[in-house]
Amino acid sequence: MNNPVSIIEPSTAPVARSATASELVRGAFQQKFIMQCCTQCAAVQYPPREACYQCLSVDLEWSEVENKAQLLASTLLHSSNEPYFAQRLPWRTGLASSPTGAAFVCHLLPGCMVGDQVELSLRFDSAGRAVVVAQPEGESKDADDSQHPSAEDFLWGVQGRVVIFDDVDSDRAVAATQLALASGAVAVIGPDQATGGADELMIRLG
Amino acid sequence: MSRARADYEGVAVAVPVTVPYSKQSEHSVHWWIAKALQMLCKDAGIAKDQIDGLSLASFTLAPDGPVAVAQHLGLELRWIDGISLGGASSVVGLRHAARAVQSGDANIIACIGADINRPGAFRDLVTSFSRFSQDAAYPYGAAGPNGSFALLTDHYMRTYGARAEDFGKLAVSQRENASANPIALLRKPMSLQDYLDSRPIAEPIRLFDCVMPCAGAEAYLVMHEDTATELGLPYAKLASAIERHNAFSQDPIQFRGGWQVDSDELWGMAGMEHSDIDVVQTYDDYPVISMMQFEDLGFCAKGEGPQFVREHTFTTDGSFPHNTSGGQLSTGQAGAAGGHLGTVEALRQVLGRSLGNQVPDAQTALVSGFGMINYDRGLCSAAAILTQGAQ
Repeated sequence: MNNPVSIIEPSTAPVARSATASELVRGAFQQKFIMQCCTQCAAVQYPPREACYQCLSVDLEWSEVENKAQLLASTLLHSSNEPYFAQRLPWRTGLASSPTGAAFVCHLLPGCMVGDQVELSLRFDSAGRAVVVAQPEGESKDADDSQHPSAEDFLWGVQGRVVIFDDVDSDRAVAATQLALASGAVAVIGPDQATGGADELMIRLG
Repeated sequence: MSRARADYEGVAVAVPVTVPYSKQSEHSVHWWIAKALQMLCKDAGIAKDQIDGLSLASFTLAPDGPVAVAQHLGLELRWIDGISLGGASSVVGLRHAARAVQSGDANIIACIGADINRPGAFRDLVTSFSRFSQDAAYPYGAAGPNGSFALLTDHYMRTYGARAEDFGKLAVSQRENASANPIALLRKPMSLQDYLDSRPIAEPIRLFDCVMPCAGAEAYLVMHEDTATELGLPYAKLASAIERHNAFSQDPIQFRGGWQVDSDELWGMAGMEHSDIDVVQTYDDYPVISMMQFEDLGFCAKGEGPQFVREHTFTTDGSFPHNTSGGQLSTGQAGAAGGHLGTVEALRQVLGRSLGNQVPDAQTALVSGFGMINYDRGLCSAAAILTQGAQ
């Protein structure tokens, strides 16, 4: 896990995100469970939005929120539209309900039981995107990589890692660069072929 | 305070047509829409110039929209509507068209649902279905609607004790209904054991809980009763109709749909009891959703769907004739045409013109629509009651 060289997989999890949803990577860098919160009525928003679903305020701020949630349902996927998952079936996902009112479709690490409390975190998936991952509450993270997903399928935090941005010139890349370094990344680099003008910030981890 | 809604007095729904489905289509969706219009004109005995309104639902029309179709097919219109509500499109389109006809904004409206299926097309649809789906559902296994419905089904089974056999009973009954429908794509006999043995797709969902994407078109005409009479067309009356969007948004997981909000109004406007309905067409993208519709439309109480299924039979000669053409599970799901399939079959049944088995002396039919898993739940619900008009 400490190999600083990026291994490019033949396929990755889906990359496309809205610009707003891309901001979730800030939580993955800092190992904090952040969501948009309304500055007017405090409602927690998910999926990420442009305005508060409760009061229509457009003043939403990212902040750390309750990460305990109840797992209401799970499924074991035996079929996927994406090669990355198709190569790793079966793959377990679930839906967790947070006391904040938000419902999270999430990846389930081994041991998550429907009806129980789970702990949610934002981790980097193979596409370098931040995804919501559930683990059993209070349980130590002993890696069971015989099932998918396991803790090995994600990266949590960037301590000691090399971070590669595909669009290194954008303002958001600059902000994310600072965040990555502040979160313990050892280096931040951009590739030769900066895509420029991309709506989404592409991040890969070495 | 909301005002009481006017009823649909004077509205006639007529000329049910289906362009027979195929698994794949080399034609663009315009071809399917044109075929549907041809059939509507031929069966109604009218020229296309007599159609002055178009209500269109399609996922695969891009970059075109409904007005591009008007030019493409040489339709000069004074009323147009594009409905992007998936499986609720037909009932919602019917409601809009009914009001346009009542008010005189249009004379004869063609309501059409059409979609094509090319290799990779379904994947394209699910990868970019909506922003919330792209951001917060698709990255979690990329299973499309199967993944979302698996979670709802899992929760429903745990909460209300539904068993695989209950879902299987609906799927098997629909296959039996489809066996008499010459244009259903899946007519091979299926037993409950076949259903139970079908491979897991997204547990607890099996292959035979899932619809087969295909190409096709479904359509009908909406006009005033006086127009139908002038044209000598048998028609159904629109006794009542409801729609609701993003209902119960604070439910942590979906176990009910918006029908529950409007069910009393649906029955009240029609002046009917549940026992007055001869045929029911639910939106059956997965059997659990049919069960939810039985509950939310008041055929049984919430949570009693499994018991209701165990107590009834669902074939055309059964105690509760349901999805009598085979439904989407056995005829295929031609995108937005899937939402129109139930309306067209309900219309055929009350006109006594079913392509397969006719429910004897069917006078009344209920059709229900459900659509748009924008993130974690279906947002749109709609239902209508059709009754036999002048024949």
